[in-house]
Amino acid sequence: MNTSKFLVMFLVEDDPGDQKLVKSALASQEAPIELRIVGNGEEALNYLKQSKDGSMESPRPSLILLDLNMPGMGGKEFLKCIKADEKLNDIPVVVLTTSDSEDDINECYKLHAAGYIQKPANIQELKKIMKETVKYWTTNCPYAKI
Amino acid sequence: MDTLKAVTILLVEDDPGDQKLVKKSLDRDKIANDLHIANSGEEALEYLQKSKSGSSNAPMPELILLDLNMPGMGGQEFLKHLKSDDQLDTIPVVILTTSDSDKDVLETFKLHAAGYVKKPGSLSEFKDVMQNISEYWFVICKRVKHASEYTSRDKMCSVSR
Repeated sequence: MNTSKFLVMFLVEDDPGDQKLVKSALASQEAPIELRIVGNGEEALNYLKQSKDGSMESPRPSLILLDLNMPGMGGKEFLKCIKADEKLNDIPVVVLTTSDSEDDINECYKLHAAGYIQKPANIQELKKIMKETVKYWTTNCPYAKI
Repeated sequence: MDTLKAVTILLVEDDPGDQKLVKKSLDRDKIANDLHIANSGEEALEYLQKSKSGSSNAPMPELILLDLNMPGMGGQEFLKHLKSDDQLDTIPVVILTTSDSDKDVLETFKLHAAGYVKKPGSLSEFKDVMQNISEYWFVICKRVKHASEYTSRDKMCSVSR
């Protein structure tokens, strides 16, 4: 029986370069992380709706990293939808994006984002940020079951 | 001239022992902070009303640490009030409590809490947790405007010499 536990993280990001960066930053973390990546909001919602705790194929994430600037359904629209869904609104969503506009920041917090991170310039910075973020959501907040 | 600012934290906690623990942990935090303590949900809401009207001795908090189990207005009730107020709903609220029941955790996330921490057993664990929480909210997540204006204790020490 497989008793290993993972922190299931879900990245909603369309840019392949950024997907790689986040993947790489998380791969270097000590915590066992299972990262699922989806390129747009609609696909993300579909995944989440059929995801289940403990499923091997589509595990329900304990944390969502969300890019704001995506084609089609943007990040804010996605955030709105997920927070309006009774079955999904308890999953913390951390916005990870290039924008540092106060309007964007404020709007995301009003939509109940659980963090807003401006993508740093280099991978070293991102690794540091991901380390603290993962620590916050696992060691300290027991919600992210590991 | 170097303007040193402290982040404002509001602790909503009725137990004096736990108030001390949090205060001690934050006293040594890397990030300079100004801690205000409310003994109940009602007191906290009163404080927040004052800060809404711009009172100088009740600065608007940038982070709220909230105990769930309080007499009178409980933590979840307080959280509900906060999240239904347009001027207060963007303040992150991190729950600090003894309960680790899945039901409590789920309910507070549904009420849009921004973290849920089971009170650690020792002061040093508490310090660790507080440090991580401040690092996450004040340095990493843009909950504080112009985060670079808030200086770490190291800088504060060298400037005051």
